[in-house]
Amino acid sequence: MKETRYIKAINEALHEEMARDETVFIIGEDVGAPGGAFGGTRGLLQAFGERRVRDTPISESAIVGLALGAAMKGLRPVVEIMFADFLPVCMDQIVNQIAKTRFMFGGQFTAPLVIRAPGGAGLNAGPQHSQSLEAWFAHIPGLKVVMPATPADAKGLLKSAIRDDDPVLFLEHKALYATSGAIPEEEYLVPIGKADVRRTGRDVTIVTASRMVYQTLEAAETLAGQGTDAEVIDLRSLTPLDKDAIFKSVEKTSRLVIAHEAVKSFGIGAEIAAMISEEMIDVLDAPIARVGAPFSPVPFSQEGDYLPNASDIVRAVEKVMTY
Amino acid sequence: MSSAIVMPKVGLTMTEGKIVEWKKGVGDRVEKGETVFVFETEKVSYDVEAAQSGFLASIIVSEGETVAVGTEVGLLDQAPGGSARPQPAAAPAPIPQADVSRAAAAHAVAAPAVAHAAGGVSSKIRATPLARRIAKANGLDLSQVAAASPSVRLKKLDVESFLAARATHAQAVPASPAAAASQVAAASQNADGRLVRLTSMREIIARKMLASTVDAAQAYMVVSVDAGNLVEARQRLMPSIEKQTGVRPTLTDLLAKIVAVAIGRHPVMNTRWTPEGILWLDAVHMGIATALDDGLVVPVIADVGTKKLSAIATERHELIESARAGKLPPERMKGSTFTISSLGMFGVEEFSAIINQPESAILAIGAIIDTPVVRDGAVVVRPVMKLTLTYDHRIIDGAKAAAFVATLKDVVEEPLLALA
Amino acid sequence: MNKPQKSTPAASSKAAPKPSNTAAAGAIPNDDGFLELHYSMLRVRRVEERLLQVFSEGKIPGFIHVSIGQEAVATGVCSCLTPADTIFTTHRGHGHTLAKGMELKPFMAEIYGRANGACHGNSGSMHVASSEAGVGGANGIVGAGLPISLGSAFASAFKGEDSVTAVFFGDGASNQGTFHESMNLAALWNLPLIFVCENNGWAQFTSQKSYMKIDSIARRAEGYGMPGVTVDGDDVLQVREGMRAAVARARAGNGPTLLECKTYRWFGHYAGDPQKYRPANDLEQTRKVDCIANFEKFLIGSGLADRGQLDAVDAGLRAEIDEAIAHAEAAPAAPRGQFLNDVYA
Repeated sequence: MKETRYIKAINEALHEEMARDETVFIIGEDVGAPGGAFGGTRGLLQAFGERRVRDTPISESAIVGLALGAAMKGLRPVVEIMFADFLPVCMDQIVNQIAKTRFMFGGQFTAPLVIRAPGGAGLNAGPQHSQSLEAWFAHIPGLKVVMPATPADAKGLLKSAIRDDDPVLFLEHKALYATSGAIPEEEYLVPIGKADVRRTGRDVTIVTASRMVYQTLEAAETLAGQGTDAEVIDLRSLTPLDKDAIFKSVEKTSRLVIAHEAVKSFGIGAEIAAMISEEMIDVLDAPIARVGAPFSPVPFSQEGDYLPNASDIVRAVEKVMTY
Repeated sequence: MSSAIVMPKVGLTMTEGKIVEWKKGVGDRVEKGETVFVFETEKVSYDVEAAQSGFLASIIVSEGETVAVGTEVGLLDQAPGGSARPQPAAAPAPIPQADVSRAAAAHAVAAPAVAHAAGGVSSKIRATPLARRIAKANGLDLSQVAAASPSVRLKKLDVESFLAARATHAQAVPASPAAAASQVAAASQNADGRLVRLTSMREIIARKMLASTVDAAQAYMVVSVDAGNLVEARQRLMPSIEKQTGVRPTLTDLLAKIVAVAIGRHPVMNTRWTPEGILWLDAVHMGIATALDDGLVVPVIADVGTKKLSAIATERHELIESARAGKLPPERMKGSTFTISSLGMFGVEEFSAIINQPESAILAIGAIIDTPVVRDGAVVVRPVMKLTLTYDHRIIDGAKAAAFVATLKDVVEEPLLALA
Repeated sequence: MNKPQKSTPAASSKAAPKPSNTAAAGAIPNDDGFLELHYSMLRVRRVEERLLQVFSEGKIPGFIHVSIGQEAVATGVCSCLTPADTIFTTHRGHGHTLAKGMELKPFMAEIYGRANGACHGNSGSMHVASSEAGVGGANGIVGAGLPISLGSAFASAFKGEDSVTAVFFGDGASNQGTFHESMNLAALWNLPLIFVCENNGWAQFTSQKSYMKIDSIARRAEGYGMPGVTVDGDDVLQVREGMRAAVARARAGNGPTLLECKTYRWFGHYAGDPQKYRPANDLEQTRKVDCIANFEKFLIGSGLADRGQLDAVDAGLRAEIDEAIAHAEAAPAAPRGQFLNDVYA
């Protein structure tokens, strides 16, 4: 194992996959010489040349559409969209085109491409550079959506995403870029669609993903001090969702809290809560609680107030435990 | 003509009773005033006397079984040999609601049956989906569980406690010798020893203790106090109180009073968690955890803050005596808002207690032990007592608990402050 | 069947005919795939006529958009492409798709929504595709095919192949951002891509002059640094001429071209469109320009074919279409839940 920063883990995955597979290429704004706005594509231009590392005009629809056309012809593009907030700029290409290619054409054409985009708040980037839009995309059949929390998962999942025969939206968290964690020295993959139990516990299941994994683990420690033993599930992938992992855990704990950074309304928490209600309500010994951001754009100067944190999770769990 | 013998209701909150013993067998002659059966409820057992003479025609509810109030447990015939059903036309007589005397309990015997449809109130029972599933899987009617459970809303724990209690009964009254043998075999596979079936009191203790640890966010705080002045105060007050009441005040009596004073200055200690919010209680009703030979009861001294030490001592004495005799009325064990528990007499230095739900805190009192302490730079030996507060962190924050403990320490160390 | 042998683009690159404004032009060299052009145009027209018929009979679910009157564009463009080349088309894409060489049976079965449709019945008329024929899909979103076509052209260049890509779009789509993004990027990267603007003067229910200041969309090419050419889209030879030049440029690695083909839409935006928005005599005037009738006149006039020959082609096509319709109508509907198999790999 080696200590590696999250952004470096992503960069390593790109290097390794480009070296492994000639059909992989990088496309995006400032991905060449600048190495990406956050350094994700650093060194790729030098290693693989302009043919495979393509700096583009500021034309998100063209970038993403180009990736689709190339993927339909057998290439494996990795797109970088500088901020996840820019995904709506090329929403038609993602939702109407990429997600539906395999389906609309009866499998004659497929779209094995990856779109990397950093989402999330925490850097005071303001309302248009801080959103967590994953629920939109998780709602679209045909897309896979992953959002790693750790450097190890970022690398392993990105490698899997590049090898995947379906389009994968790879949502990084910009506030995690500078964090580091241990990753294996040798080559490895992290499967898409598999959650990770970050902490085992018997009293309550907390389902979370991306940066909120850390807030949740912190909350779990606080709760442990109060005698509540929380199980923390890091989804890692939203689509496909690891229902088995969630169900197995809730079956054990009988209590569920879902915590995400995105706005609480109509979020993945709602989906998971509904799923449990529909399929296994009779394991519940308390109502399901959700932790998410208020129904407001991300404020520039008051992120601390806005973002859900460990105390919010502790409170939600306490409410569930004392029901 | 035969009449039903029902499980009487004694006390306001009794919902069920467990038949401990039938004093009469089927066919036996029963004289008016004779004890027909003994039941237990809320930690106390009652003898049920016959209200009229006759013959015990049948026993419907066996020993060890727990049934809801009003359930028909046996039949009394006027003539020997019969086991005819009671007359359905018999008008129901009201069951005593408030009177908790044994005589009142006896009146219930041979009163016509008041059959409560067990499932009739199911729709009004609040239960979690999991509780419902477990109940259904075990063929339980939730109203049975509701009747037996102290919870406002039935959760898994309530149903499981109920099932555990039922399983114990089933074990005690096996369906067949083979089943009994297999149960015994199963039990002995795990450990050698003897199996003692749960008493009602044990079940309640188990349920309450477990529920408390699950339902409350229990946190702890310990303080050492110099008990010199407290001991001295007791010595000084003892002669006059003993002369006046015939009872010697104990350190617990003094502490009950002192704790009430401290609570008066920190009312957050006198609260109750409810689904609607935190209930702030006006009066301090002090529970005094009391060990019995085979269990534990918590008699209550109501409004302890307004009572003189002599009154507290007298009341405590009476309560504990009747508890030890198994004759403590349920109402005297209810309504406490704070509890103190002392194991000092066993020499225990310090311990932590489990909150007596639905209270918010409990104080565990250790033994007074001569201990070297530093006073003004010199080591001196002082009688030191350790007090451990268990508090519900849902309601009481650490700093609030600490402030209470600090006041408590001040007053214990200088009991005169109780007057301040 | 009377389907003529296809000439290869290499063979057809010789002796380009003079641009002809009318089919009655003067001396024409020997057959330069003319019968093939005629066959292709007529096939598109007969297919769409039958589609209108079966649609009005309620046999086709959903809705369709026909390109009757615009066949010369589809044919002229696709006649310059090989199966290795790729086209991307629009909601009005039947003509392009068939001209590019898609088999009629899977095409028809898809429009009927049958299990054996090219897209398993997931798509219908608006998203027909054929990987075999190099049809990267019709598209229900105006202007959305443009960015995708960039990727197809990019892949050719990336792999070092000489294949090219043509993307069809309408005059209305030239006002989408995707048009401008794609024009810029294709020019910037010299992509082997031909932007075929099929300008029929109508953006759905709105005429070009009410939404654009300029008359010629080809003029926009200059702003992106690529050639822009306008041809008479009702003259298949002119279309082919313009396309040949653009394809040659693309194959030589010299980058994209914007080829604007001006044509007329004979029918409404969709089958059944009452077209109340069209000026009184507009439709009448429009239908006076018939690319197929004109081309037939030319073929007969220049002695390349006689009426009987052309009628035989027509009869053969009708038989082929009857067969494809019967095949589609006899085919089973897609099995229940079958569509779920195409969402993910």
